[in-house]
Amino acid sequence: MAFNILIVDDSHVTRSMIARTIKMAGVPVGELHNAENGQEALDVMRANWIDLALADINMPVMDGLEMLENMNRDAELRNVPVVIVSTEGSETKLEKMRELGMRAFVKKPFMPERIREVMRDILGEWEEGGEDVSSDSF
Amino acid sequence: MYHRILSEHAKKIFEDAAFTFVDAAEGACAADSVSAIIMRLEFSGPFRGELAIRAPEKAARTAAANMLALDEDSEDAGLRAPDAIGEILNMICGNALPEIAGTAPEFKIGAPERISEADFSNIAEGAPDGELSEAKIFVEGCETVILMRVEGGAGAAGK
Repeated sequence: MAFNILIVDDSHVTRSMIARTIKMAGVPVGELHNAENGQEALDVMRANWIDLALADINMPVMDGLEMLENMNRDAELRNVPVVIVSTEGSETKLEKMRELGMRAFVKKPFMPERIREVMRDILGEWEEGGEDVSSDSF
Repeated sequence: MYHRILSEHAKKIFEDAAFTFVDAAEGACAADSVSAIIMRLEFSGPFRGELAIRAPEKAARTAAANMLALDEDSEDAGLRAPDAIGEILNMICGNALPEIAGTAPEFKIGAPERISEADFSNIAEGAPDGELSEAKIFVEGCETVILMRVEGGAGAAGK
């Protein structure tokens, strides 16, 4: 089974790093979608089946918190698992995002192993096919 | 004021996120230090301020190339260098603020923007007494400077 993944971050560098990490982790990816902000992400999620979204908090146009609020109000998007990957991790904001359905938080800079761990928790086991990610970090 | 916090986080992030060598002393970078990638962002929360970084071209290209698995001499590495340094600045800010203010307060961190040498000098020279912290590290032998200005200084930040 291949998973459709959405990466939401206004930084091209970060989107590429996360995409590389997913590839290195051996996650079977069906479609890999990118969005530069929360609004674009909502549009992608409404047009495509998404198994997991990895999203930043601070983004122009619509930030990660507002994206989660919108998803929470939408019956079709409410159950899309979201992992927040961000430099920002104030307990107050994280608590709000947990209440809105955030499934996990990964603080930048992150170890690829951490991304693999949270994806495994959410998506379940998959056939290993990628490179070893345990020794690098981003 | 916060130079130790800035220095420690910058060193760790350049090493862990960009796989660059960070040393205590300048290396063979002088010829490439003329041009630099300079990025700035603003933050606001219980206190507000700005963070800026000046990374010589060589250090910035190496960071971008490593972060994106590109050839350091490729055109793409040069094109992506501002984004890479901006993201590193974002990570420095996101990791430094909780150490200064604790993990409870919420901060809004703005998007990194590219600024000129003159703008960078204005931050360094124009900040009122007690508001500016400066850290210098050597990335790939190149002097990289990080500035943090906290409006109201340590009093506003609570420590």
